[in-house]
Formats: sequence, structure tokens, C-alpha cells
Amino acid sequence: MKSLRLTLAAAAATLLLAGCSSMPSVQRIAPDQVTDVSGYWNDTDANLTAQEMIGQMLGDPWLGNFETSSSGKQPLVIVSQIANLSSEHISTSTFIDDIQRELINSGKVQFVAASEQRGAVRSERKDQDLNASAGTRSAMGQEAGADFMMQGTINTIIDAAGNTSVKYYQVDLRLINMKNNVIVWVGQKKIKKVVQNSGTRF
Amino acid sequence: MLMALACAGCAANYEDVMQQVSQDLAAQHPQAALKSLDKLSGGRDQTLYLLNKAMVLHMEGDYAGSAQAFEQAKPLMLYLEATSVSETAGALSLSEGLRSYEAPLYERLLAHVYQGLNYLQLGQPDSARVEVAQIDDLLKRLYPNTDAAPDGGDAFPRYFSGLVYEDLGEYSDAMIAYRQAYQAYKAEHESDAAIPQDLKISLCRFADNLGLADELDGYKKAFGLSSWPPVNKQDAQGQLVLVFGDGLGPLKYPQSAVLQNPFDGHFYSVSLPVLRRRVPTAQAAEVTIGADSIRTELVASIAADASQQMAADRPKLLAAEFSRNVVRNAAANQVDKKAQGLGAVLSLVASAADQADVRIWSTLPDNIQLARVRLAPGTYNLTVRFVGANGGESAPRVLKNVQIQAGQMTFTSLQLAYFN
Repeated sequence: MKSLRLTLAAAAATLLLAGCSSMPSVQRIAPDQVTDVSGYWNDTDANLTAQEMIGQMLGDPWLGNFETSSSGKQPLVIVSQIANLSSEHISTSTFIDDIQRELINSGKVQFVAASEQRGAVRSERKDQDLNASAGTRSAMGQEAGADFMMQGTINTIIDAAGNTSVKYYQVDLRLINMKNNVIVWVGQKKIKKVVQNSGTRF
Repeated sequence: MLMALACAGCAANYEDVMQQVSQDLAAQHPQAALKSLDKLSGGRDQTLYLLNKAMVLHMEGDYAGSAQAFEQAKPLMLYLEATSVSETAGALSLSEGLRSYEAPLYERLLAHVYQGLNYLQLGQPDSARVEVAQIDDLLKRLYPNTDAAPDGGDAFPRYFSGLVYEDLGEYSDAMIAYRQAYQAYKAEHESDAAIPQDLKISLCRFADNLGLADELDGYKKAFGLSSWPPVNKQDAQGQLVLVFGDGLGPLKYPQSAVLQNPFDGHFYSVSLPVLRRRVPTAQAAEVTIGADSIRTELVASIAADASQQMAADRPKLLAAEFSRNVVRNAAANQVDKKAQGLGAVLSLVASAADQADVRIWSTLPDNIQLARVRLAPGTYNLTVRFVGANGGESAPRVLKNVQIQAGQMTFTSLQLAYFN
């Protein structure tokens, strides 16, 4: 009977505590610190993917081959669709932006603005045509055409039973020559995680 | 014990809130419905608050807002899969309503369906694909041996998955999903009569396209079909898929009985939820495009899914009710030892406070219907009439500027809580 009273007291205390609110706790941490909370794709996965792809893109022979065949010209790349074939909503722009930044800053690859960005620039150029002074105006028809198009996919394979799941992510990027559709480079990053969810909570 | 019971009564009464929400929706005041729902925000009903909010926003056509609410609900539903020690102790000793609302499987699957529809309406088919992949993940994780829901509710989510894969040109995955939908409908209805005609045609189309000759023969014989539109990525026509959410889903009400033991005066109670269907005022939607009309067909009965789920939950609810009566009687015996007769008062108060858990995602429709029509590319104004059970029709509703593109599917979601 004592244990029954204890159970009832604990249940009552729990209910009262559950009603209490508290201020959120905030802790600032370094952006590169690994923080796995739920097991879903996160900033660490995006960073790992970006670093791997940057290394592969700058180290693989497609870059040297293009420079040789085009008298040292830097390749111009346009980012097309990165299809998300996974079962998670993944923002591909986080690692694509990282890849673009590193490659542009390396001075070896240039990127052409994507179609939605080009729309805004063209509208501004049109506006300049009417309103900017002749010396500062950017002329129409001077845009650079891309040499390569970057496409890609993100895939997941999930094997789960009970509270345990194994998540396997595969990110594939490829560069396609705009002139002849030849795939000149394929990069790949694989990430595997074992996620153990608790079967009980307080 | 009394403090705990008092605390259990602190939260907004779900029944009252949802009654108000229903009235707001009947009066076609979704903003008022959202305001009424805010009373559920936080605490044990947070999942239900988010699911209902997402659904009302979807009805209102705020697909981005609805998507945001569903995305907040999904991790919460996953978290609540874990058994809570404190909530279980509370539920087994005091009241079932002390548990956080754990959405049953059919509701979780429909959350993905409506989230998929949100993304399709927002022009993000890739994100809709993520939702149907999550439907598959959820069923595989919970039922790894069958990939199917044991108490039903997975047929339309599988069918919807097929539509999304078809839209993206992933024909093998579309065929797999249509096949899984067919199996699920058969498991629910035990006959081919209840299988949507559009699904029958889809099975033939894709079995034909993928060269599955034996399977195609089986479908032709089973469904009595001999022709169907070919599957063609370069199709010169487009397709319109209208998903119609008809009425509002069932509500739960408590059914209680309190009995007194004549020997010690202690009270015992049984309070279980009963399901009450809200029969929709519309029987179907009829879409008119130029001179042609097409009527929606039933693809999911949410009232039936809820009923099946409740039948499956009943033994668990009865066991918990038994446990609460044992605890109440033991507590009353203890109190009687100190003050004879007070145990009866305690057991009466505790029995009265032990109310059945009547929470259910009730802004879901009563049933879901679908119509698919092939159209030449162009911009259409679609006239939709809701046909009542007695043959009466509502005033027509016009869906303006529906874009149909060659080789593509255009999804339109239409929800009707009531029509007058």
C-alpha cells in the first residue's frame, strides 16, 4: 500500500511539474561542432558533403583537361537541379553554396548565376537601360554561357525495425559538358548513421 | 490524488474546443476556427493542435502555413512513440486523458498525404515525393514483415504515393505503390468492388507499360478492362487530379457508467469513448469542364478507419480502465481506515473525474474522393458542384485558372466541411 501511495504521489508531482514552464536554455557553440540531435540530415552532413565534393572537384583530372583544351581558361559552371530522392526534406542549397564559395575562392572555377538569379539581374539591367547613365550602364547580350552543368541527386536507404534505424545517404554530383553532353566528372559522398531512439520517455 | 485530478481538468476541454471549431467551419469562418484551436496549443494536446491547425490552413488554401504546421507535428509524433513512464502511471491510476495524444497510424499516414498535397499545390513535387517516401518508411519501420497497416488506413496513402511517383515519371515506383494500394484495399474490403476505378485503370496502364504481361492479364480479368490510356512521358495531354475531402471526420464521445458496491459503498466506473460519424452533406463532387463532367469516386473512408482503429484499441482501454478501478478501490480502502465512509466519497470523485479519452483528429474529412481527367494543355476554369445524398446540388464553385501542361499532372485539393 505504501508503494501505491508513492505511485500516486509521483503521478501527481509529475502532472504538476509538467504544467510548469521554463525559459529555453541557449548555448553558443562553434559552427563546425558536431551536433547530432535527431539523426536526420543536419549541418554536419552538409559540411562533410561539401568538403568531400570540393576536394574531389579540385583534385580530379576534368579541371586540368579543360584548362589544357581551352588555353588556360577557367571553366564556367551552372548549377542545375539537385534532385532530392530521399525521405527527408533536405535543403541542398546549404552544401551547394559551400561548394560554390570554395571553388570560386580557389580561383580555378567560375559559376554562372542560376536561372532565378539571372531573372533579377536581367530585370535590373533592363532598368539600367532606361535610367542609368551611359558610362555606367551594363549592356544586354553580354552574359557568359556555361561550359558545364552541375546536376545531382540525394538518395537515402533506411533500414529500420523497432527503435533502431540505419540511415544511409548517398549524394551524387556530376558535371556535364554543355557542348556534347559528355559527363566529365562524378563526385560522390556516402554517409551512414545508426540511430537509436529511446523506447521510453519520462 | 485530488490535486492530480484537478490538474487533469486544467487543460482546455478538447470536446468543447472542437465543437466550436466545427461551428466556425460550418459558418465558413476558418480564421475563427484557428483562433478557437489556439486554446489547445501546448501541453498534452500539442500534436492534435498542430494537426488540426494544419488541416484548417489547408482548407483555407494557406498551403505554406499548413506545411509548416505539419512539419512541426511530425517530429512530435515520432517522439511520442516512446512510452512515457509518468503518463502511463497517470493513465493507469487516474485518467486516460493524462497521456499525451499519440496519433494512430491512419492519422499519421494522412498527415503525410495532406502534407504531400500541400507541396503539390505549392509546385514542389520533389517535396511531395519526400512525403510519400516517409509513408513507406513509417510502414516499413512499424511493420517490417508486411509493410502494411494491420488495422487499415494505408490503402489511399499508397494510392496517393503512386500518383506522386507517376507525376515525377518514376514509373516502377508508381507501379509498386499502386500494387501496394490494391493489396491494402483488398485487405480492407475483401472484394474488388470497393477498389477505385482509377486505381484499376492505373494498374493496367503501368503493368502494360512495364511489360508485366502475366500481371496485366490478371488485372484485365479481375477488373473487366480491355483498354486504358497509354503511359507516355511525351504525352500531348495533361491530367487533372482532383482530391476532394468530403465533410468532417467522426467525433468521439464518452460513454460512462458508475456503479456502487453495496458492501463498502465504493464507486466503480467505466468510461469508454464511442465514435459518432458526422454524415457529410455532400455525396460526391462533380467537375464540369466545357461540355464534359466527371464525378469523384470514394478512395478513403476516414470514418471507417477511425472505427477500425477504435476496435483495435478497445482491449487496451478496457485493461487500463480495470487498472484505474483497482487503484481507486485500494486508495478508498486506505482512506476508510482513517475515516470510515470517506473512501466512498474519494472513489466517487475519482470515478467522476475518470473520463474517456475523446481526442481524435476531427478536422480530417469524413471521406476522401478523387477524380482524374485527361485534358489538352491550357488554362481552365473548372466548375465544381457538390451533389447531396438526396440528389440536391450546391451552388457551383469555380476553380479559376487551373493550368494543364502536356505530360504533367495538376493536383487540386478541395475540402468541403458543409454545404447548405
